[in-house]
Amino acid sequence: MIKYPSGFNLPRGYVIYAHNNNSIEYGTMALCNALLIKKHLKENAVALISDSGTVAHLENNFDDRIMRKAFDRIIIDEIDAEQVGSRRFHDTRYAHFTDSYKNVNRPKIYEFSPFDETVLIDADYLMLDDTMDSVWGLREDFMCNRKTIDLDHKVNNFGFNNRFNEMSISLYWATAVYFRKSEKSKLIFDLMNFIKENYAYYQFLYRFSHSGYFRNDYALSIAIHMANNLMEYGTVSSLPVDHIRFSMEDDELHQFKDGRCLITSEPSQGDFHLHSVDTNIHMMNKRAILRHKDEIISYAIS
Amino acid sequence: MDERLEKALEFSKYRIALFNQKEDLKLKFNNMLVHAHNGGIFRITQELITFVQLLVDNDTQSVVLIDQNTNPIEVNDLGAFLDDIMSKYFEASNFYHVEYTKLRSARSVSSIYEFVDD
Repeated sequence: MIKYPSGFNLPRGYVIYAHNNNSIEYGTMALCNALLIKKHLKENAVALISDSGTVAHLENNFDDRIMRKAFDRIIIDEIDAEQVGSRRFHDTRYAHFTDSYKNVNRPKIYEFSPFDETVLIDADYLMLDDTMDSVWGLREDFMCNRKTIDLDHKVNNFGFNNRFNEMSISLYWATAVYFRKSEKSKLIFDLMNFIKENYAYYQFLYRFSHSGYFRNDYALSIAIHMANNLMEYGTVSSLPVDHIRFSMEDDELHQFKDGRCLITSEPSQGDFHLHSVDTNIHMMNKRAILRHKDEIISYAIS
Repeated sequence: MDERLEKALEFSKYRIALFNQKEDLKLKFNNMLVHAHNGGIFRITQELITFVQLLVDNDTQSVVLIDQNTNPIEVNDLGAFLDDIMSKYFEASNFYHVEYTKLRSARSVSSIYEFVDD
């Protein structure tokens, strides 16, 4: 394994969790995204938190120069096999597959992040612009977004208008979360860990249907609600850009060129809409990203 | 298919593509208007610019402004703050204008996206 500089006192940076399964190379997606961060952002330190199998796969497939350019730290946090969930993934409307989903370690980020100020992002939240540069040094200790906007500019996505369900608490998205190491942030992550350990109980309490795997979005939303003394008021602010732009799993990425994605959405079957996107985007069709990994990497290191 | 219907459907695709790209531009314009200062985060609006300009005209050197998260933020050099937000505002509005003009002159889906393979 490559030896990376040790030390856990870096000031600011991004953390990406990535654990490969048999169908999706999350590690490769994280590498693409880390290189995009290096390309577009001034504050661009990146730590990868992963398992030894995923890191070995990365090291076998990418040369040392690219690995060192992408990641300032690689931190190993093995996944407990008993906690691995299973989920159905879509690759456009016309293909789907079921595989393991290893997202349970994220609530431990407070202890694992090597940064005093951290932006935790999904491996598939592609950083295509520089707007995240304004997130650092603000008064807020913890920020994440409630609002989502899809490629067709719909804002009430997934049918519950930024709520957990129709009659419940606010839904916060764990796609991008900023936190400064502080009591407030520690409390929220401690609560997330507690919720994870007692997931079945919270499922009944907050009345959400169990999707077969742990949902960080749900745990985060419940943790924020609990940290707010079970009240709904704004103690968690949104990120400077107050929404997550996303592309559904049904969408296809056709081309990645000069930092711009050409994507088709298909809001109803056979009704294709074309989109050209060069802002940060949560590309939920993970295989679509991986089909263009070579273009993304060659753009990002150029 | 009837030729008139085919043309109508093609035009409808063009309208959707145009609408989506215009909305994308608006989003990008708004994203460019985010300004961080002294731990606060401000959305640059014509109202903010006018207010700060008024304070500068009245020789106010420093002031407390309320940011978008309703935090009170001390701004010690109002002149420099005004220069920063004006510069960002004009950069964003010029970008918006240039891209919007390109979109207005696009007459087909492919020209809207400027994404033709070389």
